[in-house]
Amino acid sequence: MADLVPPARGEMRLYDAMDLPFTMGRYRLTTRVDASFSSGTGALSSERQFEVAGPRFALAPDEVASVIPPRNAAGAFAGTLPQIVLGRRTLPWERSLGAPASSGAPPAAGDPPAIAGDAPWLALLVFSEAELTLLERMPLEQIVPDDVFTRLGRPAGVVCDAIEADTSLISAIVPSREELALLAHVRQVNVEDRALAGKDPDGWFAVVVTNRLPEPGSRTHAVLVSLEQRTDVVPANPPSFVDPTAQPGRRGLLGQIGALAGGLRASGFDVPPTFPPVRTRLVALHHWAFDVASGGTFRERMQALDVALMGDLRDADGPPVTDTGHLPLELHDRAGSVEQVWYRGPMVSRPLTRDPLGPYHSADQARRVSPETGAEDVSYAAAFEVGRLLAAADARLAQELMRWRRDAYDQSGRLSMLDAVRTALPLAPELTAELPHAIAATVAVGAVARLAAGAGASADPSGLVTLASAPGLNAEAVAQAWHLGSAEEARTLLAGTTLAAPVAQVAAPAEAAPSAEAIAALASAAPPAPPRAGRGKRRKR
Amino acid sequence: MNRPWITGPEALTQRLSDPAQLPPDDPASGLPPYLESFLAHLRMLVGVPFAYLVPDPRFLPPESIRFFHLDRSWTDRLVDGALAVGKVGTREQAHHQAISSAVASRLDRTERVVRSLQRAVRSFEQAKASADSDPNAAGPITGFLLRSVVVSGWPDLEVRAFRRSDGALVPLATLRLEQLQATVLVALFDGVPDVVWCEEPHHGVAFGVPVAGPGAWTLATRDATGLPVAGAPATTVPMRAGGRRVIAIAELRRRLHARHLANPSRVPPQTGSAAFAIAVLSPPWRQRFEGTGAHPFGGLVPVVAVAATAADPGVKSALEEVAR
Repeated sequence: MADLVPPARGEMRLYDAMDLPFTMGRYRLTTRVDASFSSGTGALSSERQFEVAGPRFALAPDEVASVIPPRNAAGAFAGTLPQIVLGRRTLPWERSLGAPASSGAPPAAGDPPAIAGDAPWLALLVFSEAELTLLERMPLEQIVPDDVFTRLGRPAGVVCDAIEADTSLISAIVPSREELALLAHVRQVNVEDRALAGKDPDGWFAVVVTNRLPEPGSRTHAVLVSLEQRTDVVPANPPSFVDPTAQPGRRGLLGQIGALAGGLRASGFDVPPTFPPVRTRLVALHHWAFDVASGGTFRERMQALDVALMGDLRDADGPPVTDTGHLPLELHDRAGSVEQVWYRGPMVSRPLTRDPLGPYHSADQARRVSPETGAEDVSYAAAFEVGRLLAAADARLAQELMRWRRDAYDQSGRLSMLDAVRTALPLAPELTAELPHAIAATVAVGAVARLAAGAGASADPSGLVTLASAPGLNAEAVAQAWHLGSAEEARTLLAGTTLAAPVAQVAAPAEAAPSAEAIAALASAAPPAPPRAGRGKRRKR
Repeated sequence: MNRPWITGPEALTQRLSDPAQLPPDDPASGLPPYLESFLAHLRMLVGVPFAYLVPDPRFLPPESIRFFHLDRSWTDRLVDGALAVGKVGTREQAHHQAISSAVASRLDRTERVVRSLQRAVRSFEQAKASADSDPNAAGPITGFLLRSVVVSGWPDLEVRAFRRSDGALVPLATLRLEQLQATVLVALFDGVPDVVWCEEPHHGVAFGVPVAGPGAWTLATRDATGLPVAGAPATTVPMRAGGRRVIAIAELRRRLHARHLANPSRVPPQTGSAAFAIAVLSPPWRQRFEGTGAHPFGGLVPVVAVAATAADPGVKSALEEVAR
């Protein structure tokens, strides 16, 4: 098998069976070497025992790769044969069904070739809810008949799960030997194909299928049972068959009898071959249940669908919808009066252009009046309100929204500050570019540079220039204000208070302004200043 | 005494060294992932009450499918409404006004990853990274509402949409595929499709026999790869006597082998369980909805429902295209 090319993606290979070198059980390995040497002969022998073990009376859930239909699923599975996929590909062939009670009929002319090898010991049986009793943790000797227990090797203390059903039912549904072989096969899928391979690392699976179709409209149980050595329940030849067709007239005699028995059963009559009904128990390895919905097939359902565009109406008494898809609805307006408005959902029958106006800040902004009818169109206003309510219902969303906004305001504040800093500080272009990244360092360097540059010479050191512009000392202004004859009179009145001539400009300091580097050098030489208490405002987050 | 969780100098340091202040020229750069994901879900109508989608039940009668175009203005208003929470003054309004176009163009990309988020196949960051690199601008969105027992009876229905381009079928991205109620399914596609497929779920590959009538089943004759043989008669499935719905497996095999003897070149012989399995594997049914394009408004007008099984050779090449 190892030399086989693994299947491509989406491809699946099927194999009839797995040939095993050993079936499960205890083995004794005896080696014997006959040796002859010059002084005589002798023999070396040794004996080893080993056991090939595997699941027997219980199956760990992780051995089951998948089941179809899914556990507890509800669906129209009436035409589906339930199946179980096992991760251990050799499992169905690991144990023996036991010697056949009688040989099956030899293949006649035109029959397919007989299937070689032993039949699988696993079968998947399907029961409706009423037909089945599930038994948990039963001693093995109470499940199987005594002769089967003997053939199993009389294992002591085995406790396992089991099912119990009418013997007549079991014999009617258990596959024959040939059928058992047909109902189990091995699949190899591409390991990359997750949909098929699941978690299994090698892509090999054993599949066991049932032979019974689920009853529509019922809860159905599927049970993987062990038939090891159960020659009492597995028939050598399958029971008789009928051709069920829609026309009862074409039914065979057996079919009519079967239908009659089925009808009697359906109407409450129990028609067992023996009374009281004999029950048979089987070892249950895996069990699941699902609901089978009544109704047609997928194909029938899909073909019968009513296909149209949203807003198309089939019957004349449908809602009075317009050709644009708007529906008149009654609205209680703010004043409490009832108003006819138009509404259309987000699903429309034709492509629409996207509204370029926006954003809208309130629902009222999105209300429109239709010119044809004079009635309001509240579709978009309703959408706005739904969005608002959905968002408000989500506590985390509201918080995130607030934080996002606050961060945006902070950001905006930072940008304004940067602009202010840029105008206030004559920064070098390199520093301006660095401003958003490291504002503290940039501002500090800018401030130090400005400090180093000095304030320049004072324009009016004595203050007399400013004083001279005061109106009280200006003769012309006084004359005008007091309606004096001329400025001369005013000067006379102001005699003695006339300002002296402006003081000459004080010379600028002789030494050159220190550079930023010099100040930085001074600062590093000075002892560090004690840390100041921060005055930043505490921010709530 | 309550300790403040942050002191003034720390706050100032944080604020001045906050990398979020970069780049300062993108107002939507700080859109929180949770908010972005919520708004993208809103764009796909996730969580919108059903009565708002279908205001009158007669729009969507039982056993019907309704195709539609998504009204982008409607979903834009949903987003506007969501961002209006806590909007009390002009400051919030100014903020919304400033960021709305950036948020809208961002959501145009993020809305495409909502489905992968819903299926939890990728984290939001991973999904968003691939969506942000998608160069295609937002186009029209279409979809359908399906109300049928098919939705509840066949969970994991497979839906695909295609656009016809030079005779070939180009798949459209499925933006949303979700069961809204037990029997209602909504699907959204990125673009206007020409063909929409609804396919029976595969579930691996199951066994089954198609129902031919009440209490009767037939099997189509298949070749060695599982494709139906054209012109070959179907095989009636024999049942065991007793009315317990048990298939007479051995007899069915005998009949399938008779089909091989009648047509040895096409139909494989029944050699064992693998050959039997190929014959009984149930092919998934694919329902095909096709637009005529004759609608005055253009776009998808599904009036023809053509059906084919997935194993139909006619659609197999298209299927391979999709698989690739």
